[in-house]
Amino acid sequence: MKWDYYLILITAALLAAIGALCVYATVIYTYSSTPLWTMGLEYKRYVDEMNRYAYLPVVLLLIVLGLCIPKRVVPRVLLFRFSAGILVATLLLVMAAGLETSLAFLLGIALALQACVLFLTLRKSRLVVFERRGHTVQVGSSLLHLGIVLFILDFVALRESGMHIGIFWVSALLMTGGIAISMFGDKNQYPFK
Amino acid sequence: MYQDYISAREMAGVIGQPLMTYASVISLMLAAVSVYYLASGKWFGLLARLLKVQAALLALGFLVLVWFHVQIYNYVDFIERLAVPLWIENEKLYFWALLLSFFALHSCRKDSKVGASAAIVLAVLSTIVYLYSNPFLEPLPKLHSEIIGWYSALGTGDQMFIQQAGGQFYGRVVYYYNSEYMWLHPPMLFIAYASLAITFAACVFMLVGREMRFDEIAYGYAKIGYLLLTAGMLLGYPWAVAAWSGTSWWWDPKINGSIMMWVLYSAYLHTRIYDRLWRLSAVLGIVCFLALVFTYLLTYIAPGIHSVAQ
Repeated sequence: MKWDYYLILITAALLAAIGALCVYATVIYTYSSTPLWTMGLEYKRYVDEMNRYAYLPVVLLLIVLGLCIPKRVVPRVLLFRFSAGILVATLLLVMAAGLETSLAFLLGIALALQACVLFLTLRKSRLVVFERRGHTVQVGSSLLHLGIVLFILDFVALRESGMHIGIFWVSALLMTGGIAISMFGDKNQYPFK
Repeated sequence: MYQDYISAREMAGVIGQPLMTYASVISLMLAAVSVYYLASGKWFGLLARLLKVQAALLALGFLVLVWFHVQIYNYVDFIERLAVPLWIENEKLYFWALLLSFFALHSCRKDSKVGASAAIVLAVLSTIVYLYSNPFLEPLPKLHSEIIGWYSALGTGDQMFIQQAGGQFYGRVVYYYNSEYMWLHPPMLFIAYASLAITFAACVFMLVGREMRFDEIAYGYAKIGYLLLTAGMLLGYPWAVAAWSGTSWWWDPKINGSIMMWVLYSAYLHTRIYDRLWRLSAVLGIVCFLALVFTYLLTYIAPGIHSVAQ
């Protein structure tokens, strides 16, 4: 069975894990016994804890995203080694500089990778391969994934920056434009049988 | 002016309540005829006609709400005019039901079984609206109490009290009632919810009937739903940054629920890429809708910063 199939399953599982974390966070939030707890330190601890829990699935999702599309740009073995190296570097950075810096590092690499994918897709390069066929769909998908990475980077590293809302709008446009182009340009119901 | 507002509010109830009662009766008939159609394959013509009547009744009721909101704009005398959106408080669920009636009508053209199932979902939603969120029984109770509070403060003639009451109300008017985001963020989400309800109905049939045409229908409506869900959620962010500055809203229940719903729909769309995952895809389409309903209810069952806006 093709490895794309497993990557799709892993992507779905990681997305479901983030969904489950959201349910867990809601339960913790709702059943907190302290009145007006969102005003104090307990709330800060809760936010930090949830951010820590979200870290792993987000990192893995970004790694999978890096594996999914550019699998013909470089040989598969090299791609795996590159991804494993990035993962190790990210985890080392957690110990050296903290969660946010390590995630920002990973997001920076993911952003560069997605920008390359978009560039190659726009040039109709055969180096990149998608699960879905059709140039319009592929451009839309590249825009969407670039937008998602930019959106997370904006949240993680630029929340206090003056450019935060401006970059947010760019990522929002990339995401919604990407969804519109990829979904409404899609004629094939099941590209992979 | 105040008396004109009170009269308009009463009139909205007088005209709208019978419409809502007729709609609830039609809902019961719609549910019965839809179940009978799914069981026997008969009476689809009647079902389609009932669906049209239901949509027309809900649309008429919506026009009454539009008229009432125009009267609020004309007659409520505050620092600035109140341009209150048509989907707040007990109008939200009504608006969802109205949109669902249109989507259900549309889905009947695609597939009669999916249309009948959508009609059942509509019947359930309309009944809930009638019983628990009837916008004509007591139109906009929270806004009404704020307007009453403002006029009461004016009536005292105490400048300190007027300024205090006006300041509180003004904050709500600027960041909630008159916010331009309120004209985009909620309606986009409600259109998405209505569209995704059809995806849910089609996924149920896909799982039961194992026919791929249901997947195509489910995907067709999921495309509209996912696009509007994403855009609607994103539009809420700059608004939240401005309106909730300095408050605790990260990992708030409603935001958690919205992210959960979005990632689940993303997972559904990913699993659709492979036809061998059709069963998982159909299950996810159903789970996603349950997550959607759960997210809607979170405002009430897990109060957070979003509940303040209710």
